Amino acid sequence: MTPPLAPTEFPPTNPFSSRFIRPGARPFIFPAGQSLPLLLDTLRKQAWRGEIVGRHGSGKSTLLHSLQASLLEAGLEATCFVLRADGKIPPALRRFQWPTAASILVIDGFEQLSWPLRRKLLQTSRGKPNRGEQRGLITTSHRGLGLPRAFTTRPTLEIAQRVVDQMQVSGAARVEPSDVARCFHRHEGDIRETLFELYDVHQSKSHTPPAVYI
Amino acid sequence: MEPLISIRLHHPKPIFQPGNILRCEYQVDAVELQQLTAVEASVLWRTEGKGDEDMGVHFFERRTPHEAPGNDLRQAFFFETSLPPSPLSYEGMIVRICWCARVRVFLRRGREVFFDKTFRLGAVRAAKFAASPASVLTS
Repeated sequence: MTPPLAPTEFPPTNPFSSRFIRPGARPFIFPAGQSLPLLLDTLRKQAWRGEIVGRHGSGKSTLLHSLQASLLEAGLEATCFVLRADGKIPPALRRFQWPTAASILVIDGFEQLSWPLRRKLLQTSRGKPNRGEQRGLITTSHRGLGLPRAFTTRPTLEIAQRVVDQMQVSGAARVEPSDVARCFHRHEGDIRETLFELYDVHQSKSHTPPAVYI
Repeated sequence: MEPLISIRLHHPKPIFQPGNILRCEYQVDAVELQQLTAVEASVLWRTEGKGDEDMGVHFFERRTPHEAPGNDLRQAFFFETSLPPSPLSYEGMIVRICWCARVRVFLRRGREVFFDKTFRLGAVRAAKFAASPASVLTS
């Protein structure tokens, strides 16, 4: 039987809490043979125009966060908009004007935009290189929407296991590989939903007794 | 190398009741004087769990070098505050409410580090994981 929790001890934070699984909280894990430098190289060759495509919960937003940091390190000015399924479009994006001759617009959830707005951004993102305009447009979406493909997110069980291993590195590993496999298959490869369920798995294996802390 | 941040609560146990006075001493060390641009101390609660997170700041103070004796932010500072009636600390299955004293250190080039000293406010029963909802204990 697990001993009762001493009154002055605080249970450790669940490593699958939302603060640890939100986009940007962890670096994107690339499959074998692919990497962030390779993705940057691809985008550079495509004049900084490209789309990251993948299904819900496959890591698109996480990859975009990792990519944004690299763009800044490369000295590129990036303006980012995150669009949600509620259909609300930030007014700043509706009125978007390219701020400088060399800037990149990053849109997470490109399919949320109306067709006319997408078309406008696709057209204006080309810039006019002969006038020194080096613009770019990098998007994420569930399907191709007119930009050259830069990356397709395809999570695997091996990647999911590596993500979980990283999340449990600083504490007791309560979630077993069999838990990861079960949740991963149940959610048909959706990493976000897998991690969401693993929160419960971790919690159920944690000791949280009904003690009164006085 | 990251600076060392130490926080000490002047209380035998890190467990308080609403209305108690929290007395806290903090110090930043292992950092060059010129590296420090500001130090912030706060007492706050935050939620964590499966959903969106929330937080509230109960106490806050910010010190910059010109406010510190000798322009040195590495000396020990002290503050005290009366703790509020709510929210009380809670260990739930999908959400927990955590109280802490936090010291955030601002360094040159925009770098910042922080350290939390967790404490408990109140005596709400923790939830117990159970297969059936009926056997979950509540406060």
